[in-house]
Amino acid sequence: VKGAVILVVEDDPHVRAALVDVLRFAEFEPVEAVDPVDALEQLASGLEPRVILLDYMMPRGGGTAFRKGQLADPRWAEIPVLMMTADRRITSEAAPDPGVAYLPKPVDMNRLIAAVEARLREGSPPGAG
Amino acid sequence: VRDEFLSIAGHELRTPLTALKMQLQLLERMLHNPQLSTAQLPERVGRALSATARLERLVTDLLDVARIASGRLALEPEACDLGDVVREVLDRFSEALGVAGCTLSFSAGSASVGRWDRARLDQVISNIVANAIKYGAGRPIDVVVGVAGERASVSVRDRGIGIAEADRWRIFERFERAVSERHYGGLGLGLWIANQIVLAHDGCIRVDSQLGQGATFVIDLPRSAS
Repeated sequence: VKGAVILVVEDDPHVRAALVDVLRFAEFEPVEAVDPVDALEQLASGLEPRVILLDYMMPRGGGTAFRKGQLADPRWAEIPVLMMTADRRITSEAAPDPGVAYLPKPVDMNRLIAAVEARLREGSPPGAG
Repeated sequence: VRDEFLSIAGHELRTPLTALKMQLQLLERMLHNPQLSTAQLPERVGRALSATARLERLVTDLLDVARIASGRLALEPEACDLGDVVREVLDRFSEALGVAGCTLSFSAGSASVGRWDRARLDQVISNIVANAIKYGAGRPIDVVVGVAGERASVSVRDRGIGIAEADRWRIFERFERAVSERHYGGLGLGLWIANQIVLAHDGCIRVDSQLGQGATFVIDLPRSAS
């Protein structure tokens, strides 16, 4: 999984920088997007991430808007998604979107790396396809 | 409103906490693994400090609200020059102005000396300038300090998104803002705190704005606080 491209969709510049630092440290290749529109544009221009790390609460429709756009295009629909949220009611077991795995905020570095590796192994989101 | 506020506050506090925690975890890994390069050490520490500063600002705002709400805001007036206070604030924001792409014009006439709580005044002006940058859409910002008889004023004009007339009364309320918090972040407390500090100086803050055409905030102060 070394060098796997991970699309990081996070509006907060501090958090985005920290996520990128951690992913680089773990020898992935992070690519940054500042909101769902930016992320969908990058996918449309040919970016092929192995995993998408997605913030839930963001401008321009948040993680939900991104998922809508992602699922609408068969080229992207099966890219595994890891959604980060500060809402403790949302977990992978009690998920509003069963196609994604959830990571609680504040994100723990070790959990982040383990979760990205798990999503890479799965290759496709649960329930998709 | 209170539940919604607590949920926003939780999210706002967690955001810098997330950045801080990850940077510290990376630093810890570096400490435990001497083979790792230390070239990125200064950058990591810088990012951790910047997240800490943001947490500090949020906590300070929350404590200020508690202090003001319980009538415990005590001013410490001293002789100071309003132009100097504004100049210091603008110096501190020079990097943020650059990042936002806003050019700044600043003018201060003759000495604008009065008796005010300097630190609190700095807080008020910082808040108004930060808002001008945040909502100013990268366009020029004008700051003018003026004196008229026994009163002194600072006006801060941006050319950004502006404030609709229907929203103008709301922006000085606690936990309010004219735009969605999901778009702009923050606690929605800054202007309320600023207004309370200015009121405690027997002054007022006025706002003039058209939606889409920017906003001008004027802080008007008597030259000796009661």
